[in-house]
Amino acid sequence: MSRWTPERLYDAVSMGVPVEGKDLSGLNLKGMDLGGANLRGSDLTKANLTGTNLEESHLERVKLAGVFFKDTNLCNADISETTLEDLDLSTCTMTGIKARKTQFIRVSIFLRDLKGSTLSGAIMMHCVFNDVDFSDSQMEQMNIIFCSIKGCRMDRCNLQNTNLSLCRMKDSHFNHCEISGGSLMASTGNNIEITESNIEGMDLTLCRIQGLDITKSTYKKVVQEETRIKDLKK
Amino acid sequence: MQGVSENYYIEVSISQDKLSASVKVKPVSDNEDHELSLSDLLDAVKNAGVVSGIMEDILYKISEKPESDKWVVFARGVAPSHGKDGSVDFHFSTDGTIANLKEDASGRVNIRDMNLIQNVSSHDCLCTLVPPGQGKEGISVKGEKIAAKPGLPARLPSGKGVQESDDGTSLVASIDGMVQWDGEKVNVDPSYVVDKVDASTGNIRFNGSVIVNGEVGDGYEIHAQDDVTIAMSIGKVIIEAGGNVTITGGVLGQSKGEIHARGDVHVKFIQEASVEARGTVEVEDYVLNSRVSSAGPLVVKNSSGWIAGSTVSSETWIYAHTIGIEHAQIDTTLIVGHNPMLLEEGKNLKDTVIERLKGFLKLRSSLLKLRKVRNDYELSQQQEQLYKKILAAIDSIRNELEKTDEKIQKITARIDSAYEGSIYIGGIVNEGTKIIIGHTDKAVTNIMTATHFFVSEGILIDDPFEITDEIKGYLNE
Repeated sequence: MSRWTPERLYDAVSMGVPVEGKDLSGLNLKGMDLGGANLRGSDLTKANLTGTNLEESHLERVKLAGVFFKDTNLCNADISETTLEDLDLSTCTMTGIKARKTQFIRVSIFLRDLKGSTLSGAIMMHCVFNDVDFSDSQMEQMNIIFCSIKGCRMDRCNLQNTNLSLCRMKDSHFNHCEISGGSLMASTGNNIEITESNIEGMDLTLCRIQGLDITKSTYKKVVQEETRIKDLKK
Repeated sequence: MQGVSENYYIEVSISQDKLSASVKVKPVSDNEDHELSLSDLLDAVKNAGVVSGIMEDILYKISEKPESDKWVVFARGVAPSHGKDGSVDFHFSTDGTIANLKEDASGRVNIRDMNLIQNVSSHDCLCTLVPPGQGKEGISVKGEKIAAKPGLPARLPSGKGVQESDDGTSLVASIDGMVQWDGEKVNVDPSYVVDKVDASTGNIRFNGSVIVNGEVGDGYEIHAQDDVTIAMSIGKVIIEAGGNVTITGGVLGQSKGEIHARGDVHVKFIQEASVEARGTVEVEDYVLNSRVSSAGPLVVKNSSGWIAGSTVSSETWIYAHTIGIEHAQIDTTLIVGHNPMLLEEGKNLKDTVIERLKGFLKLRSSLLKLRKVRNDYELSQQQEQLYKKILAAIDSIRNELEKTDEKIQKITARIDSAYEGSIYIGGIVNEGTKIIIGHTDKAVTNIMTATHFFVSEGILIDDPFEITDEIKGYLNE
């Protein structure tokens, strides 16, 4: 079978043909409309996705190493069980993205709307999130470790048992959330709101926060060992 | 001075320098029973004006047993101590041929580090005048002071690259360089010129420029604060220059040759060597099996100049006629846009962070298990200690990660700010060549000719090559 070309891929996607487990590496898919495509398990290594429309596409288990994302539409796309590494997704649209058990390593996202996303079980390490709105997302059982979280909103999110350890947080909101069993171990924060949320059993070990508002939150069995919180508002 | 007692003539004499006085007695008659009294002697001494340094025991002996007609010294003055002449105190070794071997921290001595060059910096004090002594006055037997003669003052030597201090008491270096004493003058030379670098010179560490008119032996090192110029080719040599490095010949490094320049590097060819320059790298003929990086342009100037089997990088642009060797599939990587060493350092730090985070997750898991035991039962003393240690370790990891992240951010900012330049190939780009510009890369799988590689909108473009004025400025044509 000859190698896949952008045109061939476009034709297949247009016809609704699944392109699963194919070698699509290095393809220049700039500006291409691949909305709804089924590319599960394919290899998109070093593909150029500048301006590519991948809305509602299925990209589960796709190899994404070295992919060039710029102005890429990933709204409601499913990138579950993929690995995103050393990427800046700040120009991509990602509302409602599905990324179950996806690994985000050194990924930067600035000023983006990720409302209604599904990130359950995902791992985020050494990432930077500035002014990102994760509201109404499923974020349970996640490991968000050593990430910078500034100006972010995670209102009405399910963060049950999510581990937010070693994070650097500032001016971020976790209102009306389910964070029971969650952890902020060794995280630092400034001006954090966790109001009207369930924080039962939350682990604040070694946590350093200046300005924490937990008004109307269920404050039970919260673990505080060597925790330093200044200006706690209950 | 002559006096007479009842039975003796008493004669007192003072030396010309007034530092001694003698006495001579003679009986008035031949009668041997005549006595000489001490008081008569003392009166005679006093009448002669002798008041200092009198040895009364001698006078007593004379009175006891006068010896006729014999001069006996009975008083001594104190001679003046004349001042020493001034001198020059040198603050460097005036014998420049003596090796000064030094131990390193582990106690080892590198016999190539002979430290024959005495480096000085501008304003360093090289020698000082030791003023002449004033001496100490003496005293005559007559009790008079005898003045001491002061020593003669010394003069500071003259020389090149030196100046007298404002108070005229010392000689200081007016420039950075090497200080030498030729027996008459103190000279500070900003350049160190040698015919060769070998066992006779040892490694060279000089805070000026070094010029080698001949060979540099394998295994030797030249470290210069300014330029290094070598008139021949070099081999397994390490050169470190604060300025430019110019090698009339080439570098045959045998995988151990290294050049590090804060300025430019000019060389005929580079083979099996590592070259790093903060300025430009200009190579006449070729780069083979080497690692070359420059902050400025990197140019192989010859009209058939080539780069093969090497990793060369520039933060601005690269030009050569040919890349790789035809049909040889030799790996050659050309990088523009950032320093690969910086990139590697950043990558290593990022990897360290991820490893540390994995370590943290294990610690956290252990902590949670111990906590569960503590909630259900009670921790043993050992477990309690372990629990505290884990808490301390997590705190330590947090601090370490913060510092590492700061370094990563600085490196990332530097890489991101780097100019996304061009790679110009006037002739052929052979298979096996990898082009990296900024964050983009391209593996050349088919021969390309006369190509200009650059990045546009994040995509690596290969356009037909057209010579630029900037390149022309470097070429020999």
